[in-house]
Amino acid sequence: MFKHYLKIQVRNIIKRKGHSLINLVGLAVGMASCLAITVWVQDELSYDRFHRNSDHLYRVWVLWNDSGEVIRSGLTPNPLGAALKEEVPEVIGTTRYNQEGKQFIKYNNRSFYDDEMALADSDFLDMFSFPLVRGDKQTALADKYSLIVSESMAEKYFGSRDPIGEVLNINRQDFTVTAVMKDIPHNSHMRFDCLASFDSRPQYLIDLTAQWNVSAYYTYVQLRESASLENVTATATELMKRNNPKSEDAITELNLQPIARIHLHHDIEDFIEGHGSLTYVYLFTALAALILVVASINYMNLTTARATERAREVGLRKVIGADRTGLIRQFLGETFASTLMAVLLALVLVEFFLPVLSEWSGKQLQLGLLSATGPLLMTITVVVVTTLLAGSYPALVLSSYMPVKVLKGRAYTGPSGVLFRRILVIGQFAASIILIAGAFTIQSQLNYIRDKELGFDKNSLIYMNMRGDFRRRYATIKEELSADPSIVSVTAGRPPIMGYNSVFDIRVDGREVPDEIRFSREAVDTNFIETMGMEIKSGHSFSSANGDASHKGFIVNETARVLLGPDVGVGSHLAFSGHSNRLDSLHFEGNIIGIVKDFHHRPLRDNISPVIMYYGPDELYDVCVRVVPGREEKAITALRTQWETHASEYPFEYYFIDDTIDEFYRTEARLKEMFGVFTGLAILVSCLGLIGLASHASDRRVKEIGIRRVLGASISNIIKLMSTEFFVLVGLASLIAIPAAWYITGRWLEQFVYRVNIGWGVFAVTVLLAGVMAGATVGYQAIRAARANPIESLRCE
Amino acid sequence: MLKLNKITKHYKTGSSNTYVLRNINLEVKEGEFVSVMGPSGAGKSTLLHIMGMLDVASEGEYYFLDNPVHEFNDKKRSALYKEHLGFIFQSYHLIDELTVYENLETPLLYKKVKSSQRKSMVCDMLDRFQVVGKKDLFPHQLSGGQQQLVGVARALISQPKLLLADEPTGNLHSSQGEEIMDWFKTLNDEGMTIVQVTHSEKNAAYGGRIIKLVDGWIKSDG
Repeated sequence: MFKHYLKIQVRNIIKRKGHSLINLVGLAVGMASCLAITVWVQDELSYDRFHRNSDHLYRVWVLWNDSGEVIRSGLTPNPLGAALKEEVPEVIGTTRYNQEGKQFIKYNNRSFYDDEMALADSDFLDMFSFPLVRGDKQTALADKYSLIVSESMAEKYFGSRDPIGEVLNINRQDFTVTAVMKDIPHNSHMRFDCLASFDSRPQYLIDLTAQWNVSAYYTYVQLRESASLENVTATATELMKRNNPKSEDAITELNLQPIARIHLHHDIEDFIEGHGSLTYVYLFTALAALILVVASINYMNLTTARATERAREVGLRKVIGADRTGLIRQFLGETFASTLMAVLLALVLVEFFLPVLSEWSGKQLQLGLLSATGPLLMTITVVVVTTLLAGSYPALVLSSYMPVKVLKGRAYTGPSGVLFRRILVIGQFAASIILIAGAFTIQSQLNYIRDKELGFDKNSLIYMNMRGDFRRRYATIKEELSADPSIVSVTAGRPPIMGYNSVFDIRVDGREVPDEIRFSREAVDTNFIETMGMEIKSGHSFSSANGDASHKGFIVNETARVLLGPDVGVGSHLAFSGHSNRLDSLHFEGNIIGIVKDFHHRPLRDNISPVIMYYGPDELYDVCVRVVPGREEKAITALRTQWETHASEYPFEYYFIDDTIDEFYRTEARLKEMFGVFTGLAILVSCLGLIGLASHASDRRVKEIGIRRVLGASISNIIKLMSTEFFVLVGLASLIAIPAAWYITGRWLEQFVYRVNIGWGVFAVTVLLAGVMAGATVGYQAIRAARANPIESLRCE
Repeated sequence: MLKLNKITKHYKTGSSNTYVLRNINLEVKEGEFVSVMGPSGAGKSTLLHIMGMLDVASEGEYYFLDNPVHEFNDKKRSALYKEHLGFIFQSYHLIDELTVYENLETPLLYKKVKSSQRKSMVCDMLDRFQVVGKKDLFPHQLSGGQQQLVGVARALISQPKLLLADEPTGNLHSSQGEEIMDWFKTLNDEGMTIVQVTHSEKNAAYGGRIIKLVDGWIKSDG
């Protein structure tokens, strides 16, 4: 019997190759997209769950509420960890942790600058599951200047030699390799290639941060399984207040954040790169669901539409002895088999597609159907649900007819069936319209950010960190470089949007400025404003062209001027404090000499922050070079020559500001790409469904069309007859989709401070696009049907 | 073999009923060859369908081999049908996607006949109707007469007690029609009970009893 059913199915598929292919490919593409997204989402959710103790590991964070300003910071005082372990019985392990970033590493006269180092205490290896392949967990981080390297780093430096006991020179300090660990999995929020003992910090830093009043490092704790989070938090807060009396003034609260939440919940200030985003996880989950629903709807639509063609077969089978159960089994079985085929095709597609997706998302994604329950469960659910929904109509409805009814001619499809199919088409088109609108919005928002006036000229601007003698001899180098014909001008100072230095105790004209406004100070060279292409609104810049004393005083941006007070302007007296690079306290005093037009000082998702600039030759760490457009290569050669003369012991590294800005929006850019592709796929699937339905409709109405043609209908009459219904459906879908799309895109845009206005134009274009798609797919079928010779279609009856 | 008591069939058209069959009382005995005749729309096919359990009557009683069919549900009816009935249509109604062999095999599949037995039964039928050479062809590769021959073979393969034929020769040339009717005669001689619907006096003459239907009433019987 099974063989018999299989035979029928295979012959049916072959008989209607086009339909079968559309049906199969549509569902497969939909499922493949959905699976691929699921894999990505699952990876996002898997961060830091590979640690054996992951349920009991927490990162300590501090909530400061200082006269209204709430700061949630991951930075904690240096002695906190040790004190917690000593005084809170529930805490069974603690470690300080800090990511130091890329380090200069010398080994055998070769120098490198691409391995990242982190610092941690010796509990670290017990708490976190970063397994060692060589060396002893207990002693690996016990001594000062001991270093654990990753397998690939060991391979890179030492090749086949035994790494244990080898010495690497990191930032002019010798470190001894004590252990080798497995490379860090990509789904870890901690990222490092080598790990040194926390005591290896330079002495001045150890001295500076020894006290409770400086928060500079992260602290992680491991709690007992039975620990109560509230108790630990309360004890820890009390401990903090006791040891840091200054924090008594502010409302201070110590909290614990489960490590598995760190990746996606970016609500605590830290300096970890590549945070994920829960918004995107939700967004893509919704997208995956949508694609799957669209694909399944299509599949059901096509299958049920086709099933009516088989009504005669059903009647016949009843006549020769089939009972309902047999028929139900046959149709469900057929649907199951073709769904299964689609799944297999989908799996093949995913295998091809995942490497591409991995590259986009910067992850190593694998399907791992057998190990990951998510995709497996999803696949099974899809198979069962689509089989039941797509198969139950023919199985239950057709098999219930009295055989004579279906034998007498084509099956009777009740109005409810047609209505159901129409509703499905509307839903599907509405989904497509929402997706197109979403893709448009993401695209235009990102373009907007890219093109938004930054307040300075980001193009042809190179910056590099100054090191060694390069920094000491900056004045001479600047003069020499400025003479190069490929270079417009050279200045020093931190380029905009790269971050800020904090400022406190601001007084303007003797009046205190409230502390909750976070100003930023920037030391710059005299020609900084000019080189950056910023615009002076009033007063003048530091340039000596404005007089000998012009570099004394401050230049503030417009936001800062407004925030300083209503009557503040050029000539106002300003005084404030800050910390130096080495955390010494600095004091600044002088007059405001100029107001500069607002420029973006941090990524665009933040508001423009108030900035105070001053001429600070001792605090210049970055050189910025404006290059003659088109002569970038020559300029870089000139820079390299200077670098090799003065700082040859360091690798030569330079960045273009516009690239760096793009980097800030990499997540969004990737999102855009991924969203675009999946939207394309969803629309493709929708169109496939529509093609199928339209061709089914024209097949069904072949005779009607023939008669109409004989009675004198023109080809355009027929096309109109055939396509009107679909256009009405698209129209209805638009009515539903536009408000939904408007709401959804609006919500997404809310997270950006600077955002595009999504006008009606976008929606109009979207609907037009959907209409054109429908027109193209349906129109083709209609034209084909209309142009066929009517005699052909009538003769066969 | 079967007995119809006051069988009535009507359809709702708007607010009134359209009657197709009215108060039909009829008994068919084992071994009879009955022909149902009458003008178009007289209710011949409907009567045949009700006898064949492909349709149900609106009112009245139907006993088949003393089973009260009118009281049976779909499942029981279909079980009874599967066991005892064979049906032949004017337009053959073979399954397009199946070969001659597979078409003959299908009823046996539904009766859950064992594979080896199935094979020999199908081969017997192919032999008997002399279509062995055509066993791997699809219906559209056969002439109308050959298709109807396969239709007859398919109806007979499950060894029914009653053969119902709805204008079996309506779509055939006269010589092909004669061949089918000769087969019916042979089958009847072997003891098969046959009820056929026909327009042709000549075909009706093959049977021993003619029932004439007009407007849903039995006008004559005998």
